[in-house]
Amino acid sequence: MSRGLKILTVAMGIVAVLFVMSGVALATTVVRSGLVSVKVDDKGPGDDLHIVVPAGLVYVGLALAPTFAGDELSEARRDLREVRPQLEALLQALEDCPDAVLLEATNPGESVRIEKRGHALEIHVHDAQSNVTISLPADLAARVVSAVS
Amino acid sequence: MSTKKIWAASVLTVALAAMTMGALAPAAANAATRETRRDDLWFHVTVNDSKDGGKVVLNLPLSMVEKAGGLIPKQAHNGNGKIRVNDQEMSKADLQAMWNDLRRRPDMTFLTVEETDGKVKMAKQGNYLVIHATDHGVKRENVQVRMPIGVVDALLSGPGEDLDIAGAMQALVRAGEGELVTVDGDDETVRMWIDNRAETR
Repeated sequence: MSRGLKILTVAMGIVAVLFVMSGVALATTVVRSGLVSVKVDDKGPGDDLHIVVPAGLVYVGLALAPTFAGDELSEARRDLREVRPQLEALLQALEDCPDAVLLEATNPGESVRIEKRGHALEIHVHDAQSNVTISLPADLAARVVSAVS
Repeated sequence: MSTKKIWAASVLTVALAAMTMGALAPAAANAATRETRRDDLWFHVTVNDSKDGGKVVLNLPLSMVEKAGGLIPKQAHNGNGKIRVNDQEMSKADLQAMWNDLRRRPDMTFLTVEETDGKVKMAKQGNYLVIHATDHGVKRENVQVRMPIGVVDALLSGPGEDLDIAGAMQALVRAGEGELVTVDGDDETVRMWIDNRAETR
C-alpha cells in the first residue's frame, strides 16, 4: 500500500468513527431525553406537517435562552421562584403517574384529549379543519421550570 | 461474666429484637399499604352538557391534586375576612366556632331551607358533611355534596381569616375513595368522585 493510500485510509477511518460516534451520541440523547413530535394533519387543501425534534435540543435552547432573552427570563424567574417547589412537586407527580387519559373534552365536531403514555405526554386536538397530535416527554415541563428558575 | 452468660444475654437480645421487629412489621406493612393505596387514588370529574352535547372528563392522580393545593394563589385563601352564608356575612372565627360545636354532636340535619321552588338541607352523617339541594323551578336541578369532615376541619384551620386550601386537599387525600359532588340537572350533569381507577367508568 502506498503512503498516500495509507493516509487516505486512516483519514476515512477517523471520519467513519466520528460518524458512528455522533450517531451513537444522537441516539443516546434521544433515548435519554425523548422526542418532541408535532403532527398536523390538515383535512383541507393545506399541507400536512410532521416535525420530530430530540427534546435534548429544547434543553440546549433553554440553556442558551438567557443569552437572548435575559430580561424576559429574569421576570419569569422571579414569578417562578415563589412557587418552584410546589410546581416541581406537581410536575413530578405528573411524571410518576401511570398511563391514563387525564383530560378529554368533546363538543360536536371538536375534541381535545391529553393523555399520559409511558414517559410521554400526548395532546390530541381534532376539529373540522385538522387533526393535531403533539407528543412530548413528561419531564419536559419540569426541566423547563428548572432551567428558567 | 462467664461465656455462658454472655451467650445467654446475646441470645435474649436477638430474640427480643426479633419479637419487636415481628410486632412492628405488620404496622409498617400496613402503613406502606395505606401509602400505596393513597398513591393509587384518582380524582375524577365528568361534566355532561345535554344542551350542547359537550362532555368533559378529567382524571387526575390524587397526588397531583394534593400538590396543586400549594399552587393556589394566596389571594384565593383569603375571603376578606367574611364568608356569606344564606345572605348573611359571617367571619371565619364565627364559622369555625359553629363548626366545632356541630362536629361534636351526633348525626343530625342542622339546616333546612324550604322555598316554593327549592329546598336545601345540610346534615352531619358519620364522617361526612352532606348538602342536598333541589331546585324544581323553571329548570330542575338536584345537587348532592358529600364532603369528609376532615376536609372542612382542614379548610377552617388556616391562620387568621385564611382558608387552608392546601390542607383541605391533603385531608381529601387522607379521606380516600368516595363520591364528592353530583349535580343532576335538565341542562347538565356533573359528578366529582375519588376512586382507585385511572379512568372513568
